[in-house]
Amino acid sequence: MPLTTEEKAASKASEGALAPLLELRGISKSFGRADVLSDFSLSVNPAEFLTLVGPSGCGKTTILRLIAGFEKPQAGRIILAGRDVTDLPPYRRDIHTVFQSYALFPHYDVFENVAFSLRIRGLDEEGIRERVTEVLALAKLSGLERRKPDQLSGGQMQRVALARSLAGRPSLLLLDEPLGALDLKLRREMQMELKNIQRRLDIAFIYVTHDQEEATTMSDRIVVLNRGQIEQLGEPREIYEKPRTSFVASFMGAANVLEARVLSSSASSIEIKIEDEIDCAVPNSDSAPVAPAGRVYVAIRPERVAIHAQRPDDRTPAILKRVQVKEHVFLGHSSQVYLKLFEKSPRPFWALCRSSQMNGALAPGQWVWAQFKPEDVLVLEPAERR
Amino acid sequence: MEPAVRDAGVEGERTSRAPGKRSWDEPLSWLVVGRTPLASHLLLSPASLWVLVLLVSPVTLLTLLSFAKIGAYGRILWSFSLANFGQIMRPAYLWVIGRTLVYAGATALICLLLGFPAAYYVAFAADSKRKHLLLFALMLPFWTSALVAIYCWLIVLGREGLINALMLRLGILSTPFSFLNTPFSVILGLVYFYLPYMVLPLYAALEKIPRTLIEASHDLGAGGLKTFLRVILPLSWPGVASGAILIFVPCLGDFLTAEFLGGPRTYLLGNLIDNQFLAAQNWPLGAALTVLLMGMLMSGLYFYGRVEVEETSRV
Repeated sequence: MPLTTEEKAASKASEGALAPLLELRGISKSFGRADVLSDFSLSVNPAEFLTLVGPSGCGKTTILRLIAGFEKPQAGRIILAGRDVTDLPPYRRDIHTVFQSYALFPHYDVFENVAFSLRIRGLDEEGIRERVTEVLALAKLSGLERRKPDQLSGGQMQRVALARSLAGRPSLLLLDEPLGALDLKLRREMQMELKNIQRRLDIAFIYVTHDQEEATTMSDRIVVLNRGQIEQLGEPREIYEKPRTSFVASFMGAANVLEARVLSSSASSIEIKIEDEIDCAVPNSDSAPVAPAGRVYVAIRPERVAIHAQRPDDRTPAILKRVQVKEHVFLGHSSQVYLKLFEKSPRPFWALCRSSQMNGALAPGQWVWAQFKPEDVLVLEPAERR
Repeated sequence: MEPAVRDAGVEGERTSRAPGKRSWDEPLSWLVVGRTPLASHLLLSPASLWVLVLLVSPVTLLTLLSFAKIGAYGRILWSFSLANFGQIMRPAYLWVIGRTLVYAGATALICLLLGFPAAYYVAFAADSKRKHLLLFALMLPFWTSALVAIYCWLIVLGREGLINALMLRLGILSTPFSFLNTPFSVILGLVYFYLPYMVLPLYAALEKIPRTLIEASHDLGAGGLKTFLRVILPLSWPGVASGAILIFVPCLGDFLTAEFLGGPRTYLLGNLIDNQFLAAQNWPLGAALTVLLMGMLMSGLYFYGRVEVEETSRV
C-alpha cells in the first residue's frame, strides 16, 4: 500500500529522530579554570539548518571547535553518523568549517583554494576541475578562478571560503559567524543565498551567530545558548512566540521583561498581577500550573502594545490603561514610545508603533491609552528572590 | 570595492604625513625647511660621513687598485690593466672560487636542514616562556667572540681534543683521527657560526603564519605532513630565502674559520685575499679578488632584495 504524504513525512521525521547526524553527549570543556561547557548535549538532524545563537562567551564557538575537532572535550562523546569521532583529529572527520576570518590560503588562487580538499583526497585532474567549476558556479564566483585571495573583496572571500568547504561535499558544514565581517546589505543577500545552497545540497549546517535576526531568518531550528547552557531549543517561530526564559525573550527580539505575582493557576489559565499593579488572566500555554503565590517573569513584546490617543471602544478582552509618555524615539518606519505604565517599577516599558499610524510626535508627559491582550503576556521562568 | 577603500586609506596616510601638516609638538620640527626637512639631513650626517669615509672611499680605492700593476717588492704601479682579472681566471684560483661557492652553499643547506626543525619548534610547539628562553639561547653565539669560539672548536676537534680523547678511551679509535684541516671541520665551523642567521628569519616567517590557516588545512582533510608541504612550507619560503642568502653571502667572504679549522685543502676565497694582501704583498691581485667577491655578494644581495620586495608586495 502506498504511503500517504503525511505518513511519509511522519516516517521521515521518525527516521530523523532515530538517526541524528550528529550527537553531543554530556560534553564538558573548560579552559584553565573557566568551565565553558558542562554536561552539554545536543543532537543535529541530517540536512537541517541549526543555529547556535547567544551572546559572546556563551560557548557557541567552543561547541563548533569541539565538533570540528580543534578542541578535545574533557568528558563526553561526539557521535557523527553513528560513529564515535571524539578522539579523531579534524582531518579524519567528514566535517568542514567556514571560518570567521575565512582562513583562505594566501599562496593559492581561488581555484586552488577550492580544490584543496580534493587534491588532498587524490582526485584526478578532470574530476577536480569539474567539481571546482560546479562549486564556483554555485557560489557565484565563476571567472575569478585565477585571483589570489588578496585581490578579492570581503564578500568574494566569504564566498570562496564557503565554496572551499563545500567542494569536499561534507555531511556537515560548520559556519562560525561567516557573515560577521560583511556590511548589512551584503549580509542580507548572503543569508538568503546560504539558505538556498543549504536546501539545494541537502547538507546539515551548524551556524553560529550572535545576531538573533540572522538566526531567525535562516534556521530550521535555533539553539539559544547562555553561559554554556541551552536556554531553549526550537523552531524560530516557537522561540519567538513562546520564549521560556527572560533571557530568551529579550535576546530573541525585543521584550519588556516584567515581574509578576501568581495569584492562582489552573490547567487553562493563570491569574497574575504584573509589577503589583495590573491584574490579568493569561492563558496557560505550558499546561503546567505555576505554584500560586510564586513570582514569575513575564514578557510583553513592544510591537504587541498599542497606543491610542482616545480611549478605544474595543470589546475584545484587553488590558487598557491611561499612561503618561516618557519619551518618543523616531526610528524611521517605526517609533519607540517609552511609557510610565507602572508607577513603582524601575524597569523601562516601551511600545513599538508604526510611525505611519501615529499622528506626529508624542510629547513627554502627554497622556495616552496603552493596550495589550492577555495572550500577549508571555509567562516565563520563576523570578529570583531579591 | 575593496581596492578603492584601501587606496583611500593610503591616500589618507599620505596627506596626514604631508609636511604642511607637521605638528609643532614633533621634536626638531623647527628644523623643517621646504620639502625635505633639514632635520633629517642633520640627523643623518654622522652616519653619512661614516659611510663615506669608511666604506665609499676604501671601496673606490680598492677598485682603482684592482686595475693597477705590481712592481718590484710589491710596489704599486697605477695603471689601467685587466691583467689581475686575467690572473684570477687561472685554474688554481678558479678552484678556490668554486670551492668557496660549494662551501657557502653547503653551509646554507645544512643550516636550513638543521634550522627548520628548530625554528618550527620555537614557533609552533614551545610555550611562550620556553620560546623566549630558546630565542635567547639562539642569540648567545652572537655575543661570543668568534676567536674564542674557534679556539673552543680547536680544543674539541684537535688530535688531543675532546672527541679524540673520548673515542680513544671508548676504544672506537685506536689512533687519533684528524678532524681538523678537513672540509668537515671548516663546514662545521661555518654552520656553527651561521645557524642563527637561518633560524631567526625562519622563526619570523613561521610565526607570521596565522594559526587558522593550519586549522583550515586540517579541517579540509590534510594531515600533518600534507599541511606542512602544502601550507607551512610555501608560506615560510620568504624565511628560507632570507636565511639562505644571509648565510651564503657572508660565507663567501669568511676566512677566519678556514684559517684556523682548515688547511691547504680547504683554502677559501677569503684566505686567498688575506694572503695576497699580507703574505704575498700583491695588493692589486688582492684588490681584483676583492672586487670579484664584492660582485658575487652584490648579486646575492640583489636576489635577496628581490625576494624581500616580492614578500612585501604580497603582504
